[in-house]
Amino acid sequence: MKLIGYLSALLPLALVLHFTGSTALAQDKAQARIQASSIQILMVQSDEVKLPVEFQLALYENLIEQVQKTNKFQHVYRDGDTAAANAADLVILHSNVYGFKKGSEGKRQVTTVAGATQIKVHCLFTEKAGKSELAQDVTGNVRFIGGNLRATFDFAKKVAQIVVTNFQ
Amino acid sequence: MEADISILLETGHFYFALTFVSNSLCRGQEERTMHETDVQIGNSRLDEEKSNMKMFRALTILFAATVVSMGVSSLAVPCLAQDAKTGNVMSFADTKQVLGLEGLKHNVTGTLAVENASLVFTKGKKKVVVPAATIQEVMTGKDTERTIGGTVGTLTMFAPYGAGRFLSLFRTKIDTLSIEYLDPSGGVHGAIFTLPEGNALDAKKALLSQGAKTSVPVEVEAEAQAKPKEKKQ
Repeated sequence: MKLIGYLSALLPLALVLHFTGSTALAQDKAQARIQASSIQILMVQSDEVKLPVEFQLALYENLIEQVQKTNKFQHVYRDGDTAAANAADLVILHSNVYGFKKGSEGKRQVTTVAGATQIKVHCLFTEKAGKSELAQDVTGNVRFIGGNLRATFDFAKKVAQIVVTNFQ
Repeated sequence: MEADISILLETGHFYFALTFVSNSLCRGQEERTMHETDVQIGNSRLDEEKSNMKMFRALTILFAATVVSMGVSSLAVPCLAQDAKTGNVMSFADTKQVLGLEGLKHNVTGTLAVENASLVFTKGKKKVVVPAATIQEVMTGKDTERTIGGTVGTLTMFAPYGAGRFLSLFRTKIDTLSIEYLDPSGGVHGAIFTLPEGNALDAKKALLSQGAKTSVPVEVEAEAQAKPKEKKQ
């Protein structure tokens, strides 16, 4: 009887703590999210590694397409777009490739385990003034089905996921 | 039977000849086993041999189909750059737009043309025009793709006895053409095309002659692409 009494006394307390805790966590998460109405995606750079031009262009184009699909921004500006200069609440996405391993589609299909293509990119979101907002390393892979350029699509999907998680 | 095969071969029906041979071989063996089973072999052995025969026949047909499709693909379509000679038009049929052109889906096959100081990609009624003067970079490369690709190619991955893996060994050489161009507001765009082998450099030459820019001259790229071949020799 005593035990039931204790438990019944603790239950409301536990419920109150649970809800206050979760709302506080949600507020923290909301506060941590970056607010921006538009984004400018700069051309992917590859200072450290030699990246074939088709991979560079595919990374850039897939990135723009996937970020547009997130619907988090009113405008997605391309590199060099003059209209971006007048945009308020603009964040700029810089991408720098620091690792690239070109695999082989043939090897992948024949062996399943060999011939993977991998692209490692350092992504940096900054304000217009240059202040860093968010930095993350993202890896794009293709391990089984698809051509080598599919690694760029994988990378773009992951960046889009980061945008969804971190932007309001 | 030999006369039938020779007629088929003479008339160029290589695939039918192969199928005919395989069928006739299988039929003969099946007949033999039928006789033996009545006397000696049990039902399970008969089933096993029948399934083996079916597998052999299926593999023979698959092999013949592969050989024929490869032969036809190399002979049939005139994939070379067709210099239309209508003014300054130069068109490249069977060009795949991998990505990058506005208003088109990825991996669309159409015709790439260089005409009136523009790059024009046509797919059915859809036509995308990129002025050559806005093209900042043109690069070419070489690659390979599966001879049997697309949905059928993906489905073959699930074929039994590793047939899909075997078919993926058959690959077609292709050229890649990558361009970087600017839109009216100054935004950078990139587009990637794949063309039948030996056409990318011609396309690049045509684009450069119409006002496109590049950081790597055609001659340098041609030399760079020829080097791996020399090493092999």
